Amino acid sequence: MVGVCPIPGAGVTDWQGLAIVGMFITFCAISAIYMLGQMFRNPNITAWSRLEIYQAIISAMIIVLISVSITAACSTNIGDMMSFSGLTFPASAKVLPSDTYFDAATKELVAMRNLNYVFYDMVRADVGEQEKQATRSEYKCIILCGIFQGGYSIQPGAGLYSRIGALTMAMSSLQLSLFTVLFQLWVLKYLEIGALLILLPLGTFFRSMPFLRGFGSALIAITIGLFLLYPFLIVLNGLMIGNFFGLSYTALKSTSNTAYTYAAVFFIANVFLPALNFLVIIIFTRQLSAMLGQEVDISRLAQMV
Amino acid sequence: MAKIRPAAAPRLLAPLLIALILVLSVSSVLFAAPPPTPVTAEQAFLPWQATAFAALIVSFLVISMAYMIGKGFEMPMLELWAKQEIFQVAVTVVFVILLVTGVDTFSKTIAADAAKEFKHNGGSLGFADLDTSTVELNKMESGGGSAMQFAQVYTKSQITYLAAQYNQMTYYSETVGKVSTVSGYCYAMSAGGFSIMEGRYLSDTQGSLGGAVSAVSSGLTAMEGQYFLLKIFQGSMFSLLLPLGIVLRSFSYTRAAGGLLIALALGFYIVFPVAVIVEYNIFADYVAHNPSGATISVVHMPTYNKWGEVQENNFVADLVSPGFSEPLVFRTVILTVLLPTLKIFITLTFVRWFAVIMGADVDVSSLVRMG
Repeated sequence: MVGVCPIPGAGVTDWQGLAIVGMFITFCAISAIYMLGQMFRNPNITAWSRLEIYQAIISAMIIVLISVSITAACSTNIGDMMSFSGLTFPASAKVLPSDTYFDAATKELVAMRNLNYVFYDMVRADVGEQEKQATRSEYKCIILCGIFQGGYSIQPGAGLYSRIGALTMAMSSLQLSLFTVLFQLWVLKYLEIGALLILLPLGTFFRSMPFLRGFGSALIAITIGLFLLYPFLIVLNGLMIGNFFGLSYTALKSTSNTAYTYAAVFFIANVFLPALNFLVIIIFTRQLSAMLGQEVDISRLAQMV
Repeated sequence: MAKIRPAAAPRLLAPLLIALILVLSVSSVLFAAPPPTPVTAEQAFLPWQATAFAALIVSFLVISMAYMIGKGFEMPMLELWAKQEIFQVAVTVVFVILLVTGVDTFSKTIAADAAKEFKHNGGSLGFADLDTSTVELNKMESGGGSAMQFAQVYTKSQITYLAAQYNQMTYYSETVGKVSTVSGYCYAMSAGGFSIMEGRYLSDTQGSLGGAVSAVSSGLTAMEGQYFLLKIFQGSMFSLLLPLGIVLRSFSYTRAAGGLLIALALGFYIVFPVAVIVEYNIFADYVAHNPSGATISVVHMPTYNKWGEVQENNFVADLVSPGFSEPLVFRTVILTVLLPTLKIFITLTFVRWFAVIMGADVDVSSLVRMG
């Protein structure tokens, strides 16, 4: 989250710069219109300008509030949250108490991706090994094995196909979990490099414009909801599963049953809990957008996506 | 949660504050078990209770400061806001305390009943391999456990059972696969000869056996998922989500998200395990009326001798017998597909209902799709 978090002593960040420029343009535009209203002595235009400058000031206050929230979020150590809850992250995430929760969210997702990939690969290797065994044929010559031959042939591993079918289902589940965690990583990356740099300045700009206020409010609400809550909820997930995620790479070879344990664990950690996360984000964003002036039917939008 | 009318707020504030202070004062008595000897603060409060209490104090302080600023700088809007917010905090406290204490008592009671029955019927329910005299079950039976703990014991026993069935099914499948491919042959150089596969017809059962293996593995995965969910809910719902929900619900712009977190915490910590106990009762009832349903009967496996001759040993007849197929279908379809779906649906329905009460209108379609 280097692009969003302020670097101490480095002045404003990129998105803050863009937001300030957006606000400056807005104030200039409203001032110009106000001057025109004065010049042509049109009370409608001057009254409109006064109303809009009031809304622009509210937008500027929103930007300040968001800046403060992000600065607070960027400077919050994850160690505080760990001691608050008494929970820990999965050991493989290597989250340090001094990490910010943006860093912790990224580390958590990267760890889950790596673990998921390793276990997916192990199940795939197991399936491959059993496929090989399933196709093996043996010839047993019982009598007269020279000129005449009598005996039987057998395919000892033919029955492994049942197990292979079940393992393939576990593999599909692990694949779904892997894709979902990759999706989350890319959403986090998008938020880091794109959301605040583009959507927030645009939102504040549109919110200061007549007829576009609702659209601007919706953009601001979506940005805040995703940016502030999304990494935070990933961190919560990491703390929730941390104590129970003692998976070892070598366990799978001993019995194939463990493949189903991993399929279940990764599905819960990488698919089910993130679904709950999005539910919380949807609720928060809907309420925030309503407060800012435009209720977003974000659940329908999410369904479309 | 409907907002109170501004005119009514000052009148309500004093009794609400008194009620809040009283509730906070007696909360330690409500939550903590009666201590036989003097206890430390850490012993009197469970970790989540201490955290929730701290969260409430933080919310209360923030709102009090806002009220003071409103008074000091003569900002009536801020004053009114603080009054409304303190009302919401009081509502949160009352709801959480009533629900947690009331439902927790209910949870302990039904866990005690279920543990008693489980210990008594452990063998006849097909859980003979489970050590039914565990300390955990004894503790639950005497009222010291919870629905969450019983749900974990029951789920673990189903996992043990299904894992054993999975191994048995794969053994059947592997044996049948091997025998059905035996091909006896007799050749005389290139002059000719013959080969025959006596057990080829047995491979027709492989499709059904493969389906059974897949069904049992799906059931095993579902139960493993349920167990993992119960574990993480036990560890984090009240220590993480509930305090966080209380803090978020104390401020107007995060009230909906906070309400949803509280609803999720209560739903998954209390309602979900209770739904598991209901499932256990359905299971026990089924076994009581179908004693053979507790265990899946052992199938006689086909064999072949050193000449490649196959003996079926009533394998096909065993496979289609009710003693084999009916318990298998019950376990894999009812217990591990239908009932888990219902449990999640019931829990999410509670979450939606309670979230609405707590001020968050949860989208039904999203919940149904998740369920």
